Amino acid sequence: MLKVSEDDQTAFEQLVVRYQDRLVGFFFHIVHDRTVAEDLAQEAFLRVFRARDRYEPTARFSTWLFRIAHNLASNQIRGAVRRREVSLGNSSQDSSSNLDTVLAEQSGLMPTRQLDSDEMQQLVRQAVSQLSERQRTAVVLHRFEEMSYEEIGEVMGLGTVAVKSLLSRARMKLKESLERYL
Amino acid sequence: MSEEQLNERDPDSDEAAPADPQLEELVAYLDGELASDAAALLEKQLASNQNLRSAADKLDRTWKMLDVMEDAAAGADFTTRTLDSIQILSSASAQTQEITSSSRDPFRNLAPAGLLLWGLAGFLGTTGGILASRLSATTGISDADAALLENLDLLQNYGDMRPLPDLEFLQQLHQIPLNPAQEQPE
Repeated sequence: MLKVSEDDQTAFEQLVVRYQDRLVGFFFHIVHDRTVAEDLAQEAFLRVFRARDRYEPTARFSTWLFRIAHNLASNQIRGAVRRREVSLGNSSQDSSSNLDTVLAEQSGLMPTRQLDSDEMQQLVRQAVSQLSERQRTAVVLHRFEEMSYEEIGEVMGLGTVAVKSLLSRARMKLKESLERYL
Repeated sequence: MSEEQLNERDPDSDEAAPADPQLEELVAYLDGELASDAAALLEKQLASNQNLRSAADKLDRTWKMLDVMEDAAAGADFTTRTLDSIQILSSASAQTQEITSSSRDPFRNLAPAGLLLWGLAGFLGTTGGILASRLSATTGISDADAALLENLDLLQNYGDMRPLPDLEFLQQLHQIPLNPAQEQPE
């Protein structure tokens, strides 16, 4: 990153190649849309490039990058929520009933049958999407980016105690949603 | 509760049940985030408490279910598209800087050209005046009209001369050979 801040184009290319899959994966787990995930990842790299002069190596580069990504993801989710509110008005369905709807549609009249991998994937995704935005981000950073509580705190601007609380609530909520399929 | 303490709590706590310290400890233990002495204490509790062991097992298995979530990687052309965007951004930024720096003093580049034009006009005016005074003595045309006539070419082409950038540009223009063939090596 220090080379990037000195306008080294090759260094920037290496940086993109090194982090692009992680970044697209992170956004995909948050927004569940590959195209949007790529757009957001690209925007994150553009922001890194714009801010290259201001980068100070006080934190790990990946922490800095994911902080940018977290801000972008938050804006995206808030924007999507606003758009949904506008389009649905007061007729929006309670999100807590979504999982039950999926379960009913998927399982039909045989609730105890073995779910196939696609169905299980959809159920898990639905359960994760029911988490609050912050819980979801913490889960994705911890589960898929293998970040420690401290790193998650740095990315999300929280203390480790708050991250601990956030993740325990998230895991409890996931357990409540998915334990009948354990 | 102080603001600092509030910041240390789960920011989503207002939309969830009150925090459960034992659950937090259990999850932190499963995540490998518990200090060794606290972990040892919890392991003792797990050994003696069937309900706690069952809760830990369910939390762990639920967490492992996330493995089925589809992953996504960047598309084949992602790197190229991103670097192209950066290139465009970089070029646009350079152009903006150039425009910004020149727009800070819009007359900066015009000043030498203006001086040049005024000098040229002055020279032509003086020369023209002398000639006009001689001419008017013989033709009866007034001094003012004679000066206008003398500078007619300049006045008619003033619009074309206005955009001339600066003196340096004119000097460079002057150095360009009129017949490029002259520059060709024999």
